Amino acid sequence: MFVLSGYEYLLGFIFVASLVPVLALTASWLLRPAPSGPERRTTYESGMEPIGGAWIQFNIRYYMFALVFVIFDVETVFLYPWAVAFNRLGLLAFVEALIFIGILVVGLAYAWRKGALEWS
Amino acid sequence: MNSGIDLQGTFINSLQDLGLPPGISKLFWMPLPMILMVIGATVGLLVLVWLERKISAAAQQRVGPEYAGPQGSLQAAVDGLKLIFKEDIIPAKADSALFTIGPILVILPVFISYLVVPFGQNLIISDVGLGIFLWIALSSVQPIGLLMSGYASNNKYALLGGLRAAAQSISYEIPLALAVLAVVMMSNSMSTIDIVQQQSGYGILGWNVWRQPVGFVIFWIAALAECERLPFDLPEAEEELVAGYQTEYSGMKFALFYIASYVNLLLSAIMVAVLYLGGWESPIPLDRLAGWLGQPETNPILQVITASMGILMTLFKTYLLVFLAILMRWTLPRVRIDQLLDLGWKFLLPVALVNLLVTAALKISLPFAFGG
Amino acid sequence: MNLAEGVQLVSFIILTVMMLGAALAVVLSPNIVYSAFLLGGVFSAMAGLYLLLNASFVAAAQILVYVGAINVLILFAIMLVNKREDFAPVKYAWTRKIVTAAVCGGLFLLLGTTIITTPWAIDSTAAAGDEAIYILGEHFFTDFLLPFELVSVLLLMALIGAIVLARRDIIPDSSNVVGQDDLKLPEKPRELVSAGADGESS
Repeated sequence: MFVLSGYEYLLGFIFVASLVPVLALTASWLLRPAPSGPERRTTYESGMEPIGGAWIQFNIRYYMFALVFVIFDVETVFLYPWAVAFNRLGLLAFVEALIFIGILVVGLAYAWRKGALEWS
Repeated sequence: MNSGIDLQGTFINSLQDLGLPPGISKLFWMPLPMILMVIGATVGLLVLVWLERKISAAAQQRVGPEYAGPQGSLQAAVDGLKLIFKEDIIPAKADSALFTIGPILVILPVFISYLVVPFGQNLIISDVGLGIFLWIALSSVQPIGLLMSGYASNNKYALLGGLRAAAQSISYEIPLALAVLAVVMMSNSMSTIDIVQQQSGYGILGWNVWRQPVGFVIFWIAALAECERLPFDLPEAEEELVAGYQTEYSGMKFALFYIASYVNLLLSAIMVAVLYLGGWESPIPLDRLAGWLGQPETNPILQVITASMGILMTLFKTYLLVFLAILMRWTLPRVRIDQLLDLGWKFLLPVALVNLLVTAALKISLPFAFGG
Repeated sequence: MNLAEGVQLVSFIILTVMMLGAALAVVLSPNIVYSAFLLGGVFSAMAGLYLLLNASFVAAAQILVYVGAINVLILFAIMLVNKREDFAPVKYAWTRKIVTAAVCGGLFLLLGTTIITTPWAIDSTAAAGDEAIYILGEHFFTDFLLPFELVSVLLLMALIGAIVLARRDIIPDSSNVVGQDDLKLPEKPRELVSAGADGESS
């Protein structure tokens, strides 16, 4: 039994929205000129001959931010039911959420202290 | 407050009068608002690009586009047409499948999010219960598309740009979500319709911006960062990264990125209007005005006027915010990547958490002012 | 069967095929980056299935957390250590494959029989639909309060553990640093920790 209402529009809209890139790319595919010349297909490196490929190891700094992000993303997901149902929950829920957020702020402070949020 | 026109109900009823079963009549109705919304978003995009070029020109004491159409207003459409006819270049070393799917993945979530954009009580494609959360969830898919196109280009600038774009996007997603959470808490619902209705009744005084000033600023900064607008356009900082993840793209695939970024800016501006500036509500409450004039709520002319005013107000607020974004583009210098991440993690995130808790505390102590 | 049920059935079939196909491709694809992107497809299809099961909030949370956060993390991890190494062919690779297939098949059979033989108590009350988030909130702060608070402790532990493990990698071991001779770039790169793994095309 499907009880949710309005989601048939989501399905339909996914189709309609996919039509935008599909139609755009098809129109361009039909109308554009044929690709010309192998030089155009070289990798752009500010006019230099490309040195090596791009699929090499980059700095790990980005990874730290993604790690911290996952934790806080899960936290916000847990806070949504709290926020939506807050008027039915009352003062006790506020204190409990305060503890929940407080524990995670400790995590944020730890990440801060340990330099996980530093770029350099 | 259930006034307003119900186009869907009228349309389906009239089809049923012709002898069609309800399911089929609804099927006939369904594509209409969707196609209208996609066309509306596209026209909004063309207006936005024209505005951006004109206002930028004015900010720099230039004339800007002038020849295509009156005041150059068709310039964006002409540019779009030109891009359709452009050669499609896939670099020899690129991964051609991912290279094509990348831009599609960037543009799809933006358009699907228009599902929950309200222009009036019944002027929305579908008032799903997820509401604003659907937008937040969908916008979190974009970094995947950016990473995909950055990786597929097999270009160092593109890969670095893609990684940066994804890092920037995830860094500002949490402050954004927490700012939304405070508004959701005040309206006890995630539905965009409920969020606007919670602000109605007192005209401009009832809007959330007065009760959530901090949330408004956090949301606006985070939304600009999510849209990669200056001063946060690091992923495409041309002095450092050429054009970031777009470096190798040309023709229509480049146009998809371009469309996605501007339609996303439009969407963010609409969301600011909905969450903080009362959505379709006028600064002076229209139904009270009608009450003083002695008009009943069921007056059909009044309903048409209210609905059109709602659409106009939403668009007016949206473009006002867009104007603000364009002015900011030419006022503020671009931040560095470390400043960007510091702002997101060390300033906006703690402030957004405090804002949420303060909202909760105020809701307990002053329930009448903060949505019961 | 009316129109809505038909649409749901077709959506279910498409989502299931998409999920199983993407999951198989994740495991079987030789390119690890493809595997990571396809994993996003598996998660999205799963979100669609949740939606079909009336769990709209869980579906959106699935997209937000799994596609938007965990898959991005996996992609970062892969792209940041993506050295294009040519792996030497392993001797007796086929024995490994057979053993893996046997273990996976056995696990599949075990889980399958468990699913069939367990007398599932199916709740006959109507699903809550979009109201579910309110019910979730009420449960979080009444009978599921302790697990809810423990989640935050768990998240804190995960955060600290991850930082402790990851920070160690930032300061590279001296044995891991690529020797100067291996760098084929004309100048020493500033951004790259290690480069030149496939610099032969220069």
